Amino acid sequence: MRKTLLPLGGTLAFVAAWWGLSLLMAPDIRRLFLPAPPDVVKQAVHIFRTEPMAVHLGVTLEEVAAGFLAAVLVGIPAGLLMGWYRDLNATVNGLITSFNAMPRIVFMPLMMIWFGLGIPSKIALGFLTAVPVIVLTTLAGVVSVDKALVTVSRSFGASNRQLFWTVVLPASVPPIMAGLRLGMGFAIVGVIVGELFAARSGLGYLINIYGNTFQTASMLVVIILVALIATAILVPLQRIEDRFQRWRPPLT
Amino acid sequence: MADAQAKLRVERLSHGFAGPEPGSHLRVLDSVDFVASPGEFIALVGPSGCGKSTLLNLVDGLLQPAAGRVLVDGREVSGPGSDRAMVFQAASLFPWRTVLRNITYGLEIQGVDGGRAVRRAREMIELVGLKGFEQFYPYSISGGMAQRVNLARALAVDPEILLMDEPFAALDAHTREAMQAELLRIWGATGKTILFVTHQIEEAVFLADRVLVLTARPATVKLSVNVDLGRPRDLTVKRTPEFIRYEECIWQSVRAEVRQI
Repeated sequence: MRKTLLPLGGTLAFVAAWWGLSLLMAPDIRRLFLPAPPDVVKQAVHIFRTEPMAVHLGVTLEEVAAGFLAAVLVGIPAGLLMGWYRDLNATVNGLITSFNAMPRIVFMPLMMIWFGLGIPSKIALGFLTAVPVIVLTTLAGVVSVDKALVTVSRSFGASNRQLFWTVVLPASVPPIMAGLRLGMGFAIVGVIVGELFAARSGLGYLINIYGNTFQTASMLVVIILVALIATAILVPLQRIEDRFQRWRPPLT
Repeated sequence: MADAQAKLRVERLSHGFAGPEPGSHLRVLDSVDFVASPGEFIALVGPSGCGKSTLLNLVDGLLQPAAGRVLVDGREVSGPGSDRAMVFQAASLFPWRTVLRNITYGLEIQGVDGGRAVRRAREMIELVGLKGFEQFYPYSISGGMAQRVNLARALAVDPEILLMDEPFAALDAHTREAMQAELLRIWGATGKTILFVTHQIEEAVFLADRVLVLTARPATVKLSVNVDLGRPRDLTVKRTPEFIRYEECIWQSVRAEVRQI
């Protein structure tokens, strides 16, 4: 009960504060600076009728999905290899750590030169934003495997290959899952920021257009949509992750 | 030279590790010699840090000796093998595997097919008294049960020699006594040769046919005591004068070593 009521209360308090703040403003100022919630709802209905929202939404989701998938396909094997081969880790760890620490949006102009204004450049940016955290959490998972379990495995005569598949990989699953959730969050950030920077469609593109033309209510509609989508993607990922963390038997 | 009666022969075994300062060397074992006959239960006691665990790791083949050798049935040990299995001090169960799948682990590593591995694991579960807990995960069982799984996992591969590294040290006194009695029952049922490291003299005397006292580091065998308390033993033997005499004798011997540290 509390678990449902408290977040609901938090959301309602946030909307009330927003509403209160906008009511403090004169109507014409409010329209530009902070439209009230009912105005935004009204605008939402209007936008969904007049704009090809499904197209924009589809573009953004496609970019996020492709960027994230590429980051997973590259990031998990890279992290596993780095954890397994110390020399490889020593060679590239510094590069990846500094890459992870910098704002990846600096690569957007380069991605536009390589891939143009359309979807591929956003996929590339989503990939670049998501991949380092997936590599580094996977690496942390491999490196932090309980040495006692490695000894048990060796004691039974396990080969390197058996050690990897029966101990290192399963022990790394919880950190990898955490890395996937963080990576998904970063992929969404990368794609939206990329669309804000330069695009022809997508939710970030819409936010940019509405901002540049002072259509604040419409812009807020899209911002809220981004928040809802991010939540709809990340909350189930958190659930899956929690299940892996506890080593619970599967609920079948 | 080859002794037909020896299951395990440890010959002039020496080992050391790099010390804390660069170039320094810590001598841990110094020419350890002993022989275990088939089915014999040998306990190793000695001051803490004297190298008992290193000795077990050498016999298991997890470490390579600096000098000397370990022979099982006359064959020199060069690495881990299915004729030996270790029961570790921390139960070290795989947290993502159920009790049953923890016990099948060694069999899977040795390439035993799934169905046979599971049948074997179920026998071991029966033997160590864990029936009904097959599908439990390690986080949900007690320390005593975890050590039963640890023991069953080692027994599952049907080793000839069981190496036990203070397996009951982390258990409370009552559980420890229960596990000691359990171990004797299982040993009686399986006839394994056991090398049992402990720092508890009482435990060593209760369990073993023979107690080897190791010196302080670098360890060597100082004293070998045959424990003639008859079999089967139950916990009441711990109250008899003979038992206490054995305990006293070994305690004096270990204490002299502890003073030197």
